[in-house]
Amino acid sequence: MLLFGIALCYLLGCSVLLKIDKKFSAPELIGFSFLAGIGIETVFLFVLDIVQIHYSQVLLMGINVALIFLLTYKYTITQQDLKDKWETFKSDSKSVNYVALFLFCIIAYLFYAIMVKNLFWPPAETDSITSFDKLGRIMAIEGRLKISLFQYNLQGAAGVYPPLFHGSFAYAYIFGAETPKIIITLFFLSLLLVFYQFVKNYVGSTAAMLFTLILMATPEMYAHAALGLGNMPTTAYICAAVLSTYIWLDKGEQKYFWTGAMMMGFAVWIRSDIIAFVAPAILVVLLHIWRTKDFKHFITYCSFAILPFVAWLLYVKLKIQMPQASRFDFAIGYSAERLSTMLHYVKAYLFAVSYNEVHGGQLYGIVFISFFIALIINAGLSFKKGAKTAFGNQSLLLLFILMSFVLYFTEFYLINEKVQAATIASLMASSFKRGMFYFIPLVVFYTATCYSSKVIFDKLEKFRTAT
Amino acid sequence: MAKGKQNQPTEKTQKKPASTGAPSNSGPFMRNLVIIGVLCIIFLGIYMMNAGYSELRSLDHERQALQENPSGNAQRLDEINRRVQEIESDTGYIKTMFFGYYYDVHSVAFGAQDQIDEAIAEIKEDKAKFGQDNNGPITREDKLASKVHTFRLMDFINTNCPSNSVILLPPADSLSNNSKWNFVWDPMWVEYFIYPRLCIASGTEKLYPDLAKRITHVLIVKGIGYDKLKYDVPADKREPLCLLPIQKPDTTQTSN
Repeated sequence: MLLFGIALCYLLGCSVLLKIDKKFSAPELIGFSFLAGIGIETVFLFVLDIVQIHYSQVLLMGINVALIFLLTYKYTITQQDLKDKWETFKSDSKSVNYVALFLFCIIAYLFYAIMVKNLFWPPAETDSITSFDKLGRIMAIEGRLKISLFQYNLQGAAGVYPPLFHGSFAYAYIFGAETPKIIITLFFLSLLLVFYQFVKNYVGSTAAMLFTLILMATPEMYAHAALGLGNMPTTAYICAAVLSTYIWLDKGEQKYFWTGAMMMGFAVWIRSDIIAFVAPAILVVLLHIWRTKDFKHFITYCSFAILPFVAWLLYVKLKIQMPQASRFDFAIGYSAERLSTMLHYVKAYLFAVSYNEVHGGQLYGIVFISFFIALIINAGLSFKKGAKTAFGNQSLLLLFILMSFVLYFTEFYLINEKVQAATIASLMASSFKRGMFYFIPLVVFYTATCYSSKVIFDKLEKFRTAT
Repeated sequence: MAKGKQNQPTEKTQKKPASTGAPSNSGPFMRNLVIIGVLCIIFLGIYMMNAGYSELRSLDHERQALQENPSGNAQRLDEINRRVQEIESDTGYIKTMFFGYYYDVHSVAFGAQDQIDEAIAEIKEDKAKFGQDNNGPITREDKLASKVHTFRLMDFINTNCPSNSVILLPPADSLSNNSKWNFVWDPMWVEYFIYPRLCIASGTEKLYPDLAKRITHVLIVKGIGYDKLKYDVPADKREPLCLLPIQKPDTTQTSN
């Protein structure tokens, strides 16, 4: 039954994507389908809870089938579509890219190994036991979002988080899962697939495979692909949202506008603190759209990105009605000691050095260092080739990364240690460390697709194909 | 020297047709192989650079065995300590940056199946120890029991308390510094295992008066919690670890 539930989720996501555009590539279709499908499933759980209908397997199946039918009954595959697909496949398979194939085999093996580990162990991490898995399991049993434990404040810290992550666990349990960690594996798969296709759009399959391997093998993130925690799934949504938005701005492909807006909505539907990524995204879109005066797109994008955030805030305030002390202390002012502690940790993470118990190099490997090297090389090239050639539209991506990092850092700077019951040092060594995942696909994407990389991989491709 | 230098470009121009002409049909395949070869060398280099770390585990096992055995070989112990120190102090910038990748491949990817096999063997051993059928399928509960030390205590609560029970947990200050007890003092953590039963942390009774009124059982750990009972248990009958009804019971239930 679990496989049927997952198939429904994929079909639902796929129906939405095909409604947007027929021309998604296979990796995009598989990757986005799950991200969109499971996101929509949790919206169902939310809406059913609002209208006070207890959800069940049969009810969810009914809603899914009805919606899939509504989305696809007018959908037709013409002979021309099939012919086009066949032609693309034929031209792709003419010359086998053995390098990409070799890298794919390594990726497949690493993915298999982590999947085996993930599917064997049930969630046993403290955060999963106290919050995510507990919420998901009990949501499935009680058939509602606001489970009975809220009455006694036993729901755990994630009770006030938007429901996408623990809702996805609930979905797996509703369809009979013994443990919900197959969902984590599917989030990881989606992250890899969409990232691969995004990079391939710019630098071809050899580089795309290599950088997908670099992304996948980022030590701390690879370890998280086998844990029942929400940071890696959030990374999948941020990767899909931000890079789709960037490709839409860069290439003007309409399908990426829709995937960007939709995934940004789901990104705040998985964690509210992702607003630190939504605000810069909206600003970057506005900066770009200012020239075209296409405000219709801007308003649509903003609606997708902000409405889920507002809906959840209202739900917490009106339905959950949890008396909460503010997580943030806006009266904190300037604290040199706090800032110094935070900057030391940031330095350790970004420049692969040690600070206290953390070692950035062991956590994120070459990811951030290679990003900085790429930046320096491109800055140097901008003197020779001009800033437009060296950076081009990627300045928008860099601006986004910088702004979201500053906002994310500010969120932590303002955290009220008493309410959070943790010191800023321990928060930096745990929560902030895991939050660094969100930047990994973005910086790896930049490193892979920047001007200097393009030059190198063009030469490599010419050598490889002997042209 | 000057002549030699002048000759070089000529050699290059002579070689050019050979490299781009004749092998052009089989060329791409060979060129792919060359790139794969280079990648293999890089990956192998990264792996070998950190290979010393794989020794650590076996050295640690050996050290433990020698330390537990009073007649252990002191010379060997010294050698092991020196080798461990040597490996651990070798922390160059580049090396540490690639250590995570080595760990991913060596321990997580190559070691995943071995770790699972080891866990299955331990679970079966554990089941046999508790008199359960160790040939049956390994369940989620078995896996949790092997990860969470206090899982059997949680299971004991479930077996011995009706589903509408409310359990008073032991105070945090007596247990939080000992990982042996996991988080048995934290109601958020315990609730995961005992749902639909409810639990309440010691000392929060005033915060949740409705729940405090409904307490049916007291979880006693390290002999702490007898004062919460509404009856007296003679000192010689006090078990260090047990679950007792808050009202006077007919019999006392004790955890294994």
